[in-house]
Amino acid sequence: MRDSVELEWEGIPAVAVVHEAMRGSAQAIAQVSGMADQPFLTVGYPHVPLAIWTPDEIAEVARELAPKVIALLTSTSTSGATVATASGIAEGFDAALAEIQELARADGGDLVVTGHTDGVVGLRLVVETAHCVECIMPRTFLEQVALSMFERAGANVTAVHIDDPRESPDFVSPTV
Amino acid sequence: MSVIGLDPTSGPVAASTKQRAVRKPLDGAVLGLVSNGLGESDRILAALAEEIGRHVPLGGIVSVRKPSVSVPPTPFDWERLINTVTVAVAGFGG
Repeated sequence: MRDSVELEWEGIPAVAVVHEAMRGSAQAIAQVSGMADQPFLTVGYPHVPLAIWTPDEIAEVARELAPKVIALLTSTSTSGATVATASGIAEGFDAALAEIQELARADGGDLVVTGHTDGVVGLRLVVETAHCVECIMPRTFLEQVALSMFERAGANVTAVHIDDPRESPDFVSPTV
Repeated sequence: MSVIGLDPTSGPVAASTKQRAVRKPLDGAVLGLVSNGLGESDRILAALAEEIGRHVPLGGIVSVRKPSVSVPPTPFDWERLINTVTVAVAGFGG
């Protein structure tokens, strides 16, 4: 935790990842460092701290962490909308994001966070795994729905931009 | 040999001068991985970097492993980090 704090002091956006069992220690370090808003993420059980994790377990944790790490490294918000701080991991953004992702996952696709700066959220539509690419809502509609969901969750989001590969002239619909 | 005394009752440091770094989009960022050396930390951070790279195009990855969970990176590694990386993740052995 302290390493991430000192990296921030060097002007380098940083996020610490700790096990849930160490949450209290991470909070204490952030606070005594005068950086109570310093973001950190926790990984909880059933992933046991200091155990030997299987490759699948490691991959699962990495998949879960990656969008949150990206959000914390790109978000200027410290209001609790997206930042896991010494105040605890805020749920609003994550809950709304999960709802939004379901819009694409219902057809086998996904939406991943590519950035979150000054209230503007960047998402990328993943269609490689979609079993019905055309069934996923059009980008403009997805953006409106996503913004509405973020606003309803109080996630301090003012705009959503989605990178939709279907709009590329080179796009070829995947065969799943 | 010098002795440094730490007073745990002195309260938290004022947060007036130390600020979080300015956030920017991640495209092309050089990602620093600061492993605390515990458990599976190296593998977890490597997997995390790979996963992040699937979401955004990174400009590079710099990995350092601390000599111990209780100490900062070596001065050499610290210089390497602050002179080359633009964002960083620190952790974590499970």
